[in-house]
Amino acid sequence: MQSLLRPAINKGTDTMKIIRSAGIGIIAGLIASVAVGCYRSPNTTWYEPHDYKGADDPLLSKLEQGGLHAQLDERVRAVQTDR
Amino acid sequence: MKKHFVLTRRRACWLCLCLLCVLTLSAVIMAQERGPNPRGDFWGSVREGVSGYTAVSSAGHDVLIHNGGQNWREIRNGLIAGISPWILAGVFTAIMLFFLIVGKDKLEEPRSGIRIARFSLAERILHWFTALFFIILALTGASNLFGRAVLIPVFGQAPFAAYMQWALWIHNVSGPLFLAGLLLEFIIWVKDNIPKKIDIIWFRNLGGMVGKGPRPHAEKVNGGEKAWFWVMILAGIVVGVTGVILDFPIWGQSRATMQISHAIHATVGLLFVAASFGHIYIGTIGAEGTFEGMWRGSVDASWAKQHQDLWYEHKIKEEQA
Amino acid sequence: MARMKFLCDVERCIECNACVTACNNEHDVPWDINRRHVVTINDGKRGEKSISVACMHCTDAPCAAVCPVDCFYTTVDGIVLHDKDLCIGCGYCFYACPFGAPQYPEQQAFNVRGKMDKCTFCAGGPLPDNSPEEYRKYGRNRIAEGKLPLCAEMCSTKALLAGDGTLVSDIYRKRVMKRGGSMDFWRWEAAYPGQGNENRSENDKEK
Repeated sequence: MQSLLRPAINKGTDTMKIIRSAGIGIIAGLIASVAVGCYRSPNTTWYEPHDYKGADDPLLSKLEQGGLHAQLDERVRAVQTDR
Repeated sequence: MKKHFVLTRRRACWLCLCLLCVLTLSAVIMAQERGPNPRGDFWGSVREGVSGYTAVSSAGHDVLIHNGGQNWREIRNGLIAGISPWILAGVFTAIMLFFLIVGKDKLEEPRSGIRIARFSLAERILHWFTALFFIILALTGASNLFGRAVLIPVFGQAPFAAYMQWALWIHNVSGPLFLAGLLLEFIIWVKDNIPKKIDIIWFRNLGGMVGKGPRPHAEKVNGGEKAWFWVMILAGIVVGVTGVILDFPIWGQSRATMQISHAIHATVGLLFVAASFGHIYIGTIGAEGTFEGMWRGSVDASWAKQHQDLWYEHKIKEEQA
Repeated sequence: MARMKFLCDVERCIECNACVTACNNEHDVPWDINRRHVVTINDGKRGEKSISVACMHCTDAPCAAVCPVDCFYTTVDGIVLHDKDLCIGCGYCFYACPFGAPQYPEQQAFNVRGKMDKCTFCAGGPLPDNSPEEYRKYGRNRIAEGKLPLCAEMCSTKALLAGDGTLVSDIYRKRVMKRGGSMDFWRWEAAYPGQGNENRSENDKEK
């Protein structure tokens, strides 16, 4: 039975070098990717009206016609200003 | 002759130090000169998230401005959703390159026709139970993070939302089942997975997968399998515990706890999925004859001799005795 | 284009919670959901301030940014609305919102939350304006009727203002100018001008 046992040969420093450089590569990659992910654009995100693909809201077209907005502004002046 | 000023390293250090001192001093002076500003300080503290009184005491309403939400948003939308596709793609590409360059780990000797029992039926059922829920959780979880960018343009918003409604529910129910399977796996397999010195030698030889020469020794579970076992257990517990915190918002955990849990859950979960690519590769196309062990429950004697020689010898001795 | 905004004048808000009650009644929201709430900072101390908060209809709305199904949309006036038919009730908008605006009718095991509910600036949702379905899901659509949010319209001290941002800020700017920057414009000095501090109680004196 003992003869079946094969000697475990340490393939030596070459393999260790590969492992080490691979490890350094992985860590460097992780640091780089974290640095990239941390970058944040200073621009504000504007959610443009209609930037939405769901069901239609009839209010949107009403508001775009402008008449309703004027009506609402009139309402502000009527009920919100100090008396 | 005129002597030019040379910026040596030492001089640069002194310059930086002086600049730092001036800056600190000016900051201190400015802070003193500003003086108290009650109204500014009042709203400053509100911006920092002080709590007040509210008659409407639903979760967290006593705080006017929660700052954690923006941090969580940056972490989820920027860090996690920004990096993880690259990590997943990178790991997948690396494995594919390994497959193309190094190739399949073939059986060195022809099949002997002798079968050696490797995993019992109960072990196999447990493995595939856990694996099934792992895949379900990975797919539904990835849909949740990437679906908006990837699936909505393909399938449209309403069909995706209908799918996501189910996917979320399935994810939330599968999670505890996966955690249970994982803990059972830990109980039945931990005895074979205690790290030993032999595993270091196994790793130094890259498991005998690359190059020629004799293969490293291994017992029933080799170094690579042990590494996967511990990655799976540790990542699984982290993902499982944070998942349960998110899954049961009925124990009064705060929003901050859930934000942190979510960030950990998503990060570790995605790394777990990336690591699982390696396990799936080696268990299916990566090494000839490995899949039989978990599917049929037995392996060919040639496979055992090649990959798990000490276990093979132990089995032969058992057979002879 | 100007955008619709809420503004709560903290020098005027008296923490009556009428905005909360009016909102709950107008929209018939589920029990335990309050689209608006009033927070008092330094409650019971000198200089306490109350402020009424609901969805602030952010330009860069965090809820819209993190929603996995992208169910939020913005009207041309900057009102942030959402579609309850798409909402999956994951709770992400609740994590992200700084004001605690998104709320859920349920909170059960396995993260069952139901459809998210929040202030709509009285502008309903993506259904025919003021139809029974829209009322049931999102509440009254006052904007479509040319009216402003009820909480602001009925505020007894006019602390809560709602409407076009330029008009609202104009009203507030005039108020601030009138007050002259004094913290004490409605306390002792305002009630007893020029009488000094002699009759004033110790408790009421400026610290």
